[in-house]
Amino acid sequence: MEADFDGAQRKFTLALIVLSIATVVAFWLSLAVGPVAIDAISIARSLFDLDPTGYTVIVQEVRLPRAILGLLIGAALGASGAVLQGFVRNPLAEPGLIGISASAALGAVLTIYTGISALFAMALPIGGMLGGSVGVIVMLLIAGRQSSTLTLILAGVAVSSFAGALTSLALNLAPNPYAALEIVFWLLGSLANRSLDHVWLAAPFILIGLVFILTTGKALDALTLGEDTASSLGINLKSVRMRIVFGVTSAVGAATAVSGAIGFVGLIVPHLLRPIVGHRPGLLLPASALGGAVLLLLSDVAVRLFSFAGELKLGVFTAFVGAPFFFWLVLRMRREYL
Amino acid sequence: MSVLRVNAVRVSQGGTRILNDVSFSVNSGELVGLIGPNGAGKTTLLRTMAGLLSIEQGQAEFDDIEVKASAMPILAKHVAYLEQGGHSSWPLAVENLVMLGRIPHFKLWQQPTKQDIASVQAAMEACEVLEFTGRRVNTLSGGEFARVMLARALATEPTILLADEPVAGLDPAHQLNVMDKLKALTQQGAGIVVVMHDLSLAARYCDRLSLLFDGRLVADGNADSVLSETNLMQYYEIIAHRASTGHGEVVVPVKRVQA
Repeated sequence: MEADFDGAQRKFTLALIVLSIATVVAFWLSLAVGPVAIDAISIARSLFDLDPTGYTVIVQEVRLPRAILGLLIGAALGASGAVLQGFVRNPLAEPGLIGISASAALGAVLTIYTGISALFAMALPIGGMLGGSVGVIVMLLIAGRQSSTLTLILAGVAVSSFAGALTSLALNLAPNPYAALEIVFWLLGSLANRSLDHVWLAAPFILIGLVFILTTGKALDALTLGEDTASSLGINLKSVRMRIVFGVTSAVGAATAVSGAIGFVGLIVPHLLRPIVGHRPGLLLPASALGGAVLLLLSDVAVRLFSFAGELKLGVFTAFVGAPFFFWLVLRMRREYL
Repeated sequence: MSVLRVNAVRVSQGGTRILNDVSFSVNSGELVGLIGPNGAGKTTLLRTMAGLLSIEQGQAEFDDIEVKASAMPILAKHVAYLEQGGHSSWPLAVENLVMLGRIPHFKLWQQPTKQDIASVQAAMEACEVLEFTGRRVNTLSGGEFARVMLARALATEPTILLADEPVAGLDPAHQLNVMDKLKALTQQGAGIVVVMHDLSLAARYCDRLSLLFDGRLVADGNADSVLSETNLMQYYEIIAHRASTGHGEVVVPVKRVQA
């Protein structure tokens, strides 16, 4: 008998191609669907300034930033979820595990609370990114220099809880009901009304974060057999840990700062794609980046379609899709273990 | 000719001294059995040699390379470590798990080459696990999984193999199969340290036995001298029946003696 590595390789390549095509389609849908439906040719003309019709403004200034952010943030959440699940070898890990989502959210909320967000448009996402940076520095200080994976996660949970408590405090003490409402709405997570400025602010951090995350594939594969065996295979665990912390902080921090907290994407996508890549944590990284982008872009399209009475927030929608997914997961596991 | 050696090493874990002034070495072409009662420090010595623990005093070196964290990417190509028990966090296909042994030879983002695939095939054949190709490792029995893990270590094509109880949990036929395989590897030039509790297998297969007790190397040499009546009584607290058969030595523990 011969092991069919070429077949497995072909299957993985095919999966990446299918996911890439799905990403392109979802991106196109994100440009096409909304209060005004725009056909493919008009989209292309508007994008390249060929035909200055009324569509140009909608496509370039309203939908393009939203689509690019959907793509980037989805990829950031999917890849971050996959890398953390691979790192802690637990399918329940999610991008917020090391405290970055909660502290970025706190930073953004504080700009609303203090009124700084009203001063200039980028104040809110910049506040989010500062909050995320402070959060991760505190987390690393608590975890200490010789941190193990466990202390790192515990420190992340501690930072998450504390940032959550401070966010609640800001809500509790909000100067007026409007500020409170604004905070709550922002926390729900959305891609609506984002400009290309948001894209320019977040894109570099998300892309750098993704590159760092994608360098850890080999290490995650080795970690399948535990930390001792991974080390004996020449993997430098300290370096891997730092690349993951830096990559996730950069990608998820920027994503949360721009979009608010969007849950479940980072948790579900690696789950769904794991069987397709033969459960190999390294290959799961690029697959989850693409899968996250597809899921977030499609969710954002769905939000526009279902917004009859007031806008449905993206984070609410992903939670509505995500939670039933867990019901299904539990039912499937029950069957498997019977 | 390669050699992996530790020189007067002292190793502590969590404040407890585990190894005290241990000097030990394995040469290529040699099968060394590392024996001793539970808690003697066998696994710690193996992990120290694999570069997984920091050494308080003394040195470890592979040929001219000092065994330390920064040298691991190079050492990993030459020294393979087979963990006791072992566990796979994800239900990989058997051949993909064995392929993990090739990681020291991979560059960043590199996919397996023909050479890697050939090494994996050879290792799987040697450990009689080719028949499990395509199966998920979580569907294997404990003994089958142990052989897959050995194939993983062999896929690295190491100069030195450090194997922690590779025959624990195997049926008698596969115990003999694994020991035969290790013996054959040393004849091809590999140096192997194998931790084991089966004194008969140790006596019959190993070129040399090293007896650890309470963090010290107390005996080192051929089976006859190391498994002497005094040593067995003093360190293992047993009386054993020893006999020569047509197929080699057997050592059967028959009675516990309290020291």
